[in-house]
Amino acid sequence: MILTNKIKIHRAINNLTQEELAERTGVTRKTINTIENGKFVPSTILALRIAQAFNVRVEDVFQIEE
Amino acid sequence: MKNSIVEKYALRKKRSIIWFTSGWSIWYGSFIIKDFIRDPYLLGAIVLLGLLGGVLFAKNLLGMFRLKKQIAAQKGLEEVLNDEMVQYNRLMAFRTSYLITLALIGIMNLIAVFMSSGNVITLQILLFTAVLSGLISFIFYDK
Repeated sequence: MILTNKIKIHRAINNLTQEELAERTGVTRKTINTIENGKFVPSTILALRIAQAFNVRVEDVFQIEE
Repeated sequence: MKNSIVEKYALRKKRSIIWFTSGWSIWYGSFIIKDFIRDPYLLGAIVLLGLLGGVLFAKNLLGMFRLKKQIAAQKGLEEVLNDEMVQYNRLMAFRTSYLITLALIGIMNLIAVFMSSGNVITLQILLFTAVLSGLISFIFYDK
């Protein structure tokens, strides 16, 4: 079971850089980068903050793959 | 919090930890090694190297306190620089350090069966390894 995400797609839709998303969610750019690349699984709070930054539901950004 | 400021302080923090680790390994490493050296010239060189390491260690320790103060002075910066990934990396570094120290205790126990070693040197080696492995693994996880 792995957690996949569509951060890159949502960033492109919203015309946001990793730096800008990091600024909006209160983490470092490196954290956003590792989440986007699937190397780090964010907490529920951070996942919700990321979704909030894109104005979408959390399940639109993060999905579980069996 | 502006990301350029975050990046600047994150880099300073990282550099500070790297120099602090170098200082610790040089200073405390030579402090341990000096007891095993018989040659007076080599001993002198090791003591000198240890002193340089000590200066490097102390300078960076003070620098880290200063940096902590500067970070705390800027609203929200401390939380960003200590975000959940940094906390996770720190936890992993502690875990690695704990396992390495446990393994070293096991090895030293095995050595103690065949030869006796002083309590002080054993504690010094354990302290050196525990601190160094924690710092190095944090640098590794946080890269």
